[in-house]
This record gives sequence, C-alpha cells and structure tokens, in this order.
Amino acid sequence: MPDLITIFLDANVLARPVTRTLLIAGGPTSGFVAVFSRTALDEADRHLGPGKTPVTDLVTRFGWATARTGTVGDRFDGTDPKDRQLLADAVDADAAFLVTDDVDDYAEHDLIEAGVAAVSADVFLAHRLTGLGYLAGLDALSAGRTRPPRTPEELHVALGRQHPRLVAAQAEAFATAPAAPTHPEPAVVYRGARCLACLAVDRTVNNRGLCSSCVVVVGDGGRAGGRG
Amino acid sequence: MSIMSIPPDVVRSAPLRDTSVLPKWARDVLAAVVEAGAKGETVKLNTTVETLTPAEAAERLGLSRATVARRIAAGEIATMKVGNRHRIPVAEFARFQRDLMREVAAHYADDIEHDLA
Repeated sequence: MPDLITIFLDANVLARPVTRTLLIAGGPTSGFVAVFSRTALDEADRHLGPGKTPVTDLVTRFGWATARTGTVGDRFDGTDPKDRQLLADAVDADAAFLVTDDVDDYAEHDLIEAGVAAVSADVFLAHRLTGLGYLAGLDALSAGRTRPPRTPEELHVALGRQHPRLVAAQAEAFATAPAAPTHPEPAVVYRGARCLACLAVDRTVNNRGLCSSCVVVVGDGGRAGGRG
Repeated sequence: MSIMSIPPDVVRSAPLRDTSVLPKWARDVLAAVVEAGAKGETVKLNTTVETLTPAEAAERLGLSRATVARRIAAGEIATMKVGNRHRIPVAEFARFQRDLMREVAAHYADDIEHDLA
C-alpha cells in the first residue's frame, strides 16, 4: 500500500463532526491520515455547545491515538499565542498540512519555517480527497441516519452548504446539484509553501495552495492530488 | 498464495489470436508470457495476499497500537499468522476501517444531524 501523508486537525475542525468524519474516514483511501493532539482535543471539546458528544470520545471510547505534545519554546512568534502549541504539535507530528478554519491565525513565516502549510478544510478536501475517499466519507456519514439527508446522494447535496469546493470537485459522482453555501469562504484559505497538488515544498505556491506548475494544470477548483 | 507455471512449449503450441478486446493489463501479461515462451523460458505467476502489520494498520487509521491489538484479540479484526506474528489482509483492513468509521459516525449521529441542518 502507498505511503500516507500526515495532516494535523486544528480544534475548530475537530469540533465539526461532518468535516471531521470526512477527513478521518476518507483519509486512508485518499493517501493521508488525520492526526490530532491532546491540546486540540481539549480545545475542541471547549468549542462544543451543550448536549454535544465529546470529541475526546474518539480517544476514550474508540482508541484513537493522540499526537505528542510539541515544544513551542521561542518559536512561532508571529502566530496567535493560543495557537502556537497546536502548530508545535503539528510540526512534531511531521504533518504536511495543518487543516484549520482559521488559517489567518497562523503566520506565514512561521509556517514556512516549520515546513507545514495551513489550509481550510474545504480547500484541502477539494484537492486531496479521492472519489473513493469521498464515498467512504459519505458511507460513514450515512451510518445510523433515518432521516434525509441519508443516502450518499442526499448527503452530497447537503454538503454543498458547508463544503462548496469539495462537492464541486466531486460533481461527477452524482447527477444532483449541491445546495448553495450558507457562508462566504474565508478571505484566507491557505498559507505556507507546500503545494496541495504535487506536495512539493515550493515558494511559488499561491494563496490557493498551488505551485506555479500545478496551477496551470489543475486550476483553482480541486482534485489536484485526488485520483480514483 | 498460489503459483501458476506456464512452460514454453505450451505457449509455442497455441499462438495467441486477437487480443485487442482485452484490457491493457491482460495484453501486457500475455505479451510478457509470449516473449518468455519464445526465449524458451517458463513463466511462473504468483498470487499473494497483501497484508499490513498491526502497527501499520494502527498508523493508517490513526488508532493506538494497543487498540488494534485489543481488536485483534477480541476477534474483531481477522488476521493470518506469519510465524508467530499477526498480519492483516488488506481486504480485511478495508472492511474493518469501513465498519469502524460507521460505528464512530453512528456514535456522533445527533451531532452530525445538527451539523448538516
């Protein structure tokens, strides 16, 4: 089986059950494995509203491993202080990408120096989730559901609300048009120097995560690395 | 695992006819067999079951190694023994991964419902 790249999930992504499920369930088939640290888990649980199931159940009930706690030291001075530990954990996990809803919390020079790129979940999924990985994610999401959206096609339509780039990249999987997004895309969706398509570290990577060679081939939409 | 042996006289005695309807991988295999037969070589085709170690399976799923070991001990992951070590066939790994992800998503079903709304 091919090697996997490691991606690190920020607390704000871990706290979103649909996004988290797509990343965890679709990863192994798509060539990546999603990891997270104790700091990320604890912060994710603090993000949850009342009555929600703790994200830490992934560890305590299902046996997920947590990444080691990285050393911050005097590094990452341009990054929001509350996020420095998460960046240190991502670096310690040897993650290629830090998947987060708040890319602009991480300073570009800190990311480049650390060799990690920060990217929004939707943009990452659009580029790296394969067709088989997408179906694996939809299959997991459909588990135990008795009400619409229940089938993979219904879920695909519903996902348009929060993952417009992903469903656009996977448009050929279903004939149905996805729902319109409910929120505008954040102004900053990528920072760093690792290309989402070819995975090379390259200072020509643009603010959509593509190097100058791949942007010509792939365009902005996604399915850069996604095959199958 | 099985081995199929194709001696050169068998290949030479029954030349191939139209292979254009076959997929490329089959044409490539047949071309290699014919080429070997022409050289007087015997072709041996091996089949193997691709497997993962429990540690590799844990790493691919993001689970702790102890969790995978526990699931194996409980009979929830079928393994084959190589010497005294467990190996997980890739097909079994895929089956377990799918079931695990469905189990996890079902656990968070109410949260997923809210998130999809």
